[in-house]
Amino acid sequence: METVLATMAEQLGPALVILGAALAVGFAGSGSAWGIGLANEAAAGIMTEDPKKFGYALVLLALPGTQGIYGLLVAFIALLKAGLIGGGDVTVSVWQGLGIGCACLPIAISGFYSAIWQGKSSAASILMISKRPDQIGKAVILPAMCETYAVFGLLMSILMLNGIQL
Amino acid sequence: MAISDMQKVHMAVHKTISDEVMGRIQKLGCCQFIARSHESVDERDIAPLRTRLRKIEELLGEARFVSRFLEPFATEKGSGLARAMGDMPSYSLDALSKVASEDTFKTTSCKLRDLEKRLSDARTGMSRVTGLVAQLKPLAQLPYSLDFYTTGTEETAGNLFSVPLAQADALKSALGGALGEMLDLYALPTSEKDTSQLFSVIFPREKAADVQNAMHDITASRIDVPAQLKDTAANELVRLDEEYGELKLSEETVVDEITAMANDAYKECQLFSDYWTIQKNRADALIDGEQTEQILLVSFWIPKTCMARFTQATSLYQDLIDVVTTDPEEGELPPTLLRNKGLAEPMEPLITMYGTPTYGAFDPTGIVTPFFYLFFGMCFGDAGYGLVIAGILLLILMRKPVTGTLKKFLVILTVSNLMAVVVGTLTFSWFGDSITAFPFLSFLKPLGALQVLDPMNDPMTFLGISLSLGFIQILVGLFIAMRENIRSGNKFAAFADQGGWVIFLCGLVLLGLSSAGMLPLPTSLAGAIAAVGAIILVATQGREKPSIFGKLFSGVMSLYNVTGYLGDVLSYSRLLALGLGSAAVGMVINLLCNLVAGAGPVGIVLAVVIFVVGHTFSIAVNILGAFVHSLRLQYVEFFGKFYEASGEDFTPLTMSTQYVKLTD
Repeated sequence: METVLATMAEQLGPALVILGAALAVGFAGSGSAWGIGLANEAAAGIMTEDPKKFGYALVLLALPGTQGIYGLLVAFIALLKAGLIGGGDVTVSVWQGLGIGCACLPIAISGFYSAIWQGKSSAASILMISKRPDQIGKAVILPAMCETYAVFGLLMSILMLNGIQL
Repeated sequence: MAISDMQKVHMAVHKTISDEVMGRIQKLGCCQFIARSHESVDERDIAPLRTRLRKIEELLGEARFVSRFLEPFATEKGSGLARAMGDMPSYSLDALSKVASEDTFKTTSCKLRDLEKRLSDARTGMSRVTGLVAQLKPLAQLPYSLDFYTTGTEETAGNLFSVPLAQADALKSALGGALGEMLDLYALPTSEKDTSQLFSVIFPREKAADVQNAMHDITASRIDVPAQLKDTAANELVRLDEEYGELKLSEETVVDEITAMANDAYKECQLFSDYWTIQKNRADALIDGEQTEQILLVSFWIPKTCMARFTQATSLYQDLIDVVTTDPEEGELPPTLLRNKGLAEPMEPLITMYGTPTYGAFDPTGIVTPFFYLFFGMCFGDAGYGLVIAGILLLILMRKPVTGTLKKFLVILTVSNLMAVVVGTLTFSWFGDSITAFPFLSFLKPLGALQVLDPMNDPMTFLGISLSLGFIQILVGLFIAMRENIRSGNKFAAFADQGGWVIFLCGLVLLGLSSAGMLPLPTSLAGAIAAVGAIILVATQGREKPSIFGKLFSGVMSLYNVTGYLGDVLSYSRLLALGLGSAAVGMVINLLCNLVAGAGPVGIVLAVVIFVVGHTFSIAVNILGAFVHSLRLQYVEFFGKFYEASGEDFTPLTMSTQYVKLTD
């Protein structure tokens, strides 16, 4: 029994890291997909009128895609830190694992919600450039306002991961 | 770093030379005409001008028709991007006027109108024939001529009915009962898929009413045959097929004819439209003026620096023009023309994208320039990426005659990317950590000697730098607002609104640094500075409230705004986040390359593919993020402190063209 408990304790650390990484990729990525989907609807709409707007629409609808990349990034750093990829010789205790798992949450949560709202902003901007293509500069800036909070989430996740001593 | 001083010019020109003078002014391209007030318009004076303008607009309308009509046929249209890169023909205005001659263009456009008519006739004909064929197909096996069912003969008439298969017998018996021997009923053969059957009924004319009555109770619909079809359906189908073939041939001939002339005519149309747009702009400016029998009076804004060029350009006509120059009057708001030099000049479009500075107010272009380039460099933050993009852009700038806003944009990107090279070198980020990740790149390791910061392992220092830069930029913003207040004579506001905040914020920062032991300054002194700032703010921020209590309350509440400043400074932490993001994405790509590279030759090929595709993707994503977020910091955090953007763009009368480069 004791050996079973000891093995569980040994493996729970890495498992928590994996859970954190999975949440970061899963939620931030889902948010991005959702946001891009919303922006896509607007993009497809304006392209029925003017297919030449494809380039502009693509830039705008790609904006909510960054959160997914941030999530992927944090997941990689977490896995790398715990030695689950890249082959680092480290052991992760339960508490360290829990810490790394929690450090993934800022980007998971802020990435998920900010991407959806950024998608909505992008959709609105896409409708804007359908009438005023000359205003593409402003149209790109507006959705970036939402992304700020994903950037902060990314920042905190990285700082937290960096702060955990192994 | 300035806004051009404007002068207002009132000019009286003798009408005999007005067009020439306006041509010269248009060529100068530095005069923005002012529309007169509507009361002073006497329609009789400008009637000839209106006629001319209408004629030009008609010509341009014709050009629009030609270009729209030829668009699907022309293959050498030239893309907007290619034109922006300077890929367009060069003409002098004289040469352009000859090429864009009205007569030649009218011949072309008449020919095209005619071709358009023939094309649409052929296409309408084809769709008419297709419709008839669809109507006749079910009747193909009908043995009788179709005119039985339209005109009939003297004695007999005919009808065609369609009934659901289940009702076919009912129809037969109903008609048999009504007409008996005199009925000629023919059932057209059906196929398996048919759900209804067609019947031809031929009967004596006087029995028409009986037929109607007999059909009353059956759900049968009568099928009308188009009157122009006389022969049997089968023969008519053959004839229609031939007609369709002829129409198709004629459509093809017309399309061939259009295609043969499309490219030349399209180019001609572009030249024509450019030339007449120049003429239209000139006529629009003229119509803004006042006319008497012999004189044209116009007013326009001109930058002071252009006055000498204007005088020189019009010196030929000294005797026939009269010019009065005035400075902007009180309450008048001249248009804003930014005039910056060096690296700041290309930043102008980014500033006006937010809003044009108010005339006479502060132009932030010069101040924004170093911050923007530095922030972009920090956000993009990779020397390898920076070198690749800066290299490509420099090649484009050197090889292609790019002009206008695109050129400015490319210059901004080039300088920004060079800045990324600097930041990347200082943080030892070359395509992520490729130098340390790949053993074959280890010869580049000496570059590591240039590293002064390692943001991946020591993010706090980089964060400190980011926030410090933010604090500095916000202070700069406050100082600009202070300067503007002093300039407009509002010294108290400068002291209270900006001075108070500068002292308070600096005091707080000093207090934080000294209590953290990072600054050899007594905490009490720093605290005292912050307190002085706070007292100034409490004492002054409620000054517009009537009661003492209101003043005090608003003053104290104003201190709450410190959260706004805190938020603004923290916003600059994105410089670290995006910089780390670029480096980490690069690192992850390199890690993936190393993971697959172990799997023999295939693995190495795959690693190369991952490296190229991955880093290209990383560049695309990060360059967009770096640009947008660096710009956002200027727009939201910096401009919010001082920028008045209620100006109007300077839009002079120019020889602006879309499809040709004017050489003179």
